[in-house]
Amino acid sequence: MDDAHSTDMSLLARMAQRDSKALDTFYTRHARAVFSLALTMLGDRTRATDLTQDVFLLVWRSAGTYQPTGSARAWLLRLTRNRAIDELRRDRRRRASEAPLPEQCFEALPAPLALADAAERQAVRDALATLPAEQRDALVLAFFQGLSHQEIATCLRTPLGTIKARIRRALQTLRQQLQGESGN
Amino acid sequence: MAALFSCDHCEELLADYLLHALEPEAIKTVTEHLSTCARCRARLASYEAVLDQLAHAVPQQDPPAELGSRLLTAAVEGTLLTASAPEPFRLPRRPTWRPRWAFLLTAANVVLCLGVGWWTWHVQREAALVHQRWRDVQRHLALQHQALTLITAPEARPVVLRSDKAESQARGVLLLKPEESNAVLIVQDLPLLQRDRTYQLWLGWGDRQRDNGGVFRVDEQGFGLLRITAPRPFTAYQRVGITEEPAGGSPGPTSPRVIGAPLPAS
Repeated sequence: MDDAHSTDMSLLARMAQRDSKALDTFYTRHARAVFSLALTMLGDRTRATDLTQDVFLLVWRSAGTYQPTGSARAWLLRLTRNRAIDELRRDRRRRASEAPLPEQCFEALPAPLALADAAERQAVRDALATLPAEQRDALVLAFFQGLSHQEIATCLRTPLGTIKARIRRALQTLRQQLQGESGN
Repeated sequence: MAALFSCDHCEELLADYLLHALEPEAIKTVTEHLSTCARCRARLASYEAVLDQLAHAVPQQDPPAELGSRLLTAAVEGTLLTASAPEPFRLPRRPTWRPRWAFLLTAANVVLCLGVGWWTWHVQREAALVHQRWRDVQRHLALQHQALTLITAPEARPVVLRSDKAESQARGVLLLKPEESNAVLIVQDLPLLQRDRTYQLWLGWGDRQRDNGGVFRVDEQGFGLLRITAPRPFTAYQRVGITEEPAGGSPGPTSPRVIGAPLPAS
């Protein structure tokens, strides 16, 4: 069968058998999504490139242990996000001496939500646009910048309980918008 | 605690759980509850799906072209190293002496390899630069062609964008056909930005709603061109504005307007 038509699962199975052609196909299929998320979160092409390589090498090494619970792409993007958050947190620890001011938080904030115009992303963009700005900001800081709720509360000078409620409500609204489910 | 832990309480913590924002004790409690409650597991999966969609909704950009081959090399080399680690394969021992010319040959080989490697890298880099310049020129020509088409179209309207500050020379013109969603923006005398900053065009409608009109940069002369494909026809918008944003753009303006203008009602 042509590799381009192989399923992700079969490619992962072949990678577990150390078939580098399967890795090549898997990379070609998903590199753009992984790199884009890494670049959005880290804001630096060199670091995003290194992180993309790390993620695919990790997949190559652990392909045999992959337990499917959703799509392979979702799994890849979770790996990417977790690794990017690790890096961002390491960065923050390095310059932990000064607490971020709200203005600095907002400088880091917008890029993640500058959504592409591709049709399949329109639904997410529309759903995000319906969120009140304070909910959207809190969710972005938590999801794309990996800030803890306490850090967001400090950053936005807002009580911790309010931040938690905003993030929860934002996710509930998005779920409702994107999946048509009741928020309750 | 787990016994008193209700599904409502669990749902309250699911967002925090997924965003890794819970204390270890709470993580343990939620994990235990999830292991016994199918309903909460389904809720967790639905939140997870939302976060997956968010992760996939960022602007898409291609990784560097050489990354694929770099990855394959690293993967294959890693495999070879790993495979040989438990019981390294050894060639039969060879005599330890080697003729003097062998060292000279090895040295010459290394020099030759380095030279060829540098030359190949240099040629590839030059080719990539030429290709990039060619693409930039093509893009610029296409934009200019579209601008000229709009300028000469009888139904096209120019909208002049100006700064609110009297001392600023920054200005622009938006060429659009009101019934359509395509337009071209030409700006002049905008300040040159740092590499991590960009200009972003906003298309305003309603009370405070805006659509992203696209991002662009300007050259040393402050000149820039942007092709716009708006989400709606221009009849739907009442105003346009340009702000300075982080590279990649923002979901909403985060800095004061650089230039802008109201759009004439059709």
